[in-house]
Amino acid sequence: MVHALSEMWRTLAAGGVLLDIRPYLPFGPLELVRGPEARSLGRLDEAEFDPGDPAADNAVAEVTRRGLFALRHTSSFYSSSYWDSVAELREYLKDWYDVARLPRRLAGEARTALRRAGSSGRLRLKTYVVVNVMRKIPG
Amino acid sequence: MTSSFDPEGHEAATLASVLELTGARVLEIGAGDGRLTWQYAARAHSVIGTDSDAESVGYLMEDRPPGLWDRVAGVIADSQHLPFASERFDAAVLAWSL
Repeated sequence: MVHALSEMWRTLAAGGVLLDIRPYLPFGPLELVRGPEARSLGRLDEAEFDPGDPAADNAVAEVTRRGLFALRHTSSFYSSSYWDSVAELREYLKDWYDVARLPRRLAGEARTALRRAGSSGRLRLKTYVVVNVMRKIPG
Repeated sequence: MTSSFDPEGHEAATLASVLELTGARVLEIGAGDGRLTWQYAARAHSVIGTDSDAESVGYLMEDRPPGLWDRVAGVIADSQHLPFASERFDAAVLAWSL
């Protein structure tokens, strides 16, 4: 990660800005959303995951310590993703297989909830996303 | 639509509020299929979106809106070894990829 950040430093012009956007996992609870109403169905299996991303944080701290970048601003927002079916949610979670899995029990509850909600029901996961804005310090 | 990501537009709004990309030469690392790219590319001077996954870069190129054909390019690249000259970009965006 430090090497990748160093490569970005190299390709940036003097005074260039690096924007680091990344999710601060774990996910929020899986919800059933119907119109303005949302109901928690339960949490994904994220037992093997540490909240946040310590390795990425350490890499940012290291390039800051080396004088490559200066942290200028940090912001955050909640990003919501929606699915019409459990199958689509499973497909999405394939990209996160190493940090989050959909337990069979929760998948069953989600199917039942969607069926009862009718065509207006959707599944939702919220992700807390952190944005770091860093400015290149010319070498 | 069967699935959607951030339909409320919180990501685009935050991006616009923290970084001025108007006229900027932008390098986006981990651009994937361009989901984030399309939220700012229209106001940038140029965008090169990289990803180590060739299929994703293919989608990025295929999905370029007509008005962005000459402004956005996709490149298959490893973030550890970027195939670009030094000091070429005004801004670099790490899109969920650090």
